[in-house]
Amino acid sequence: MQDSPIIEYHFTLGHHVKDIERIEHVIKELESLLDIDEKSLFQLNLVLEELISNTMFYGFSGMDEGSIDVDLSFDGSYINVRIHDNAKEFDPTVEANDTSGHTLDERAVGGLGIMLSQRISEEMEYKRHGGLNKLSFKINTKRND
Amino acid sequence: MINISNQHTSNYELIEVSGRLDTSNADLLDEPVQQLIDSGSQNFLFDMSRLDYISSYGIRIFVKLLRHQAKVSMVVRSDSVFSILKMTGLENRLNIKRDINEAKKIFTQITQ
Repeated sequence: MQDSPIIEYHFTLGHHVKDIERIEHVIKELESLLDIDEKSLFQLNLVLEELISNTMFYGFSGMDEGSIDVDLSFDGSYINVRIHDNAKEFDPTVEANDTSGHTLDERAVGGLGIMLSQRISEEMEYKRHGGLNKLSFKINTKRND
Repeated sequence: MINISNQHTSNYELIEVSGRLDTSNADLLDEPVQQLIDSGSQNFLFDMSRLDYISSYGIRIFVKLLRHQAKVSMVVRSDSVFSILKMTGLENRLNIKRDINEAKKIFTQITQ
């Protein structure tokens, strides 16, 4: 079986909350570029929105400038995502681990977006390096749930 | 893009939400829902049969209703929207149905 060519995509967002709206346009572009089912694109859209809106609302709070760089690559099975930003330090893998296994009623509603992101994505890893939050994860487009 | 319409019936508030319900527009649904809560409404039927996308900012509105002890029912056709609502663990309390007549039954059962 021939390996699918890896397709890469990059975009940058500013620190204004309004910039979140751009994610929807990115997803529409990816829909025309990539051979990905609707559900995987929905999941990618959701995880990007949840993580980036969290950064916009809390990470950049009180800051005059900031940017978020997003790199995507698709190998035919996995969408690999890397998000780098210069917002305040925040590790969403810790937040998610703290809330996993609970139902929504038992958890602060504020953690809902992070919890959904953690459940949808695979191999989420975070590190703080050089003043940047560096987050990576995968979305398995062949997963059935 | 989101479209919201609201209709009062004798048994429930019928709120139709179509398009995308996300961070940028969830307030457009949250505000009328809050007004209905404040005016004492307890039964909410959301017709989301033409909703294509929902994120946590939209889901929080339903969580708020449940915390106010409201009775909620909804029509969802998109498999992706259903899948996300299911991940919250609230699918039973949200009474998610494929058909609006099924969703309406939740409220007719209350009043009978």
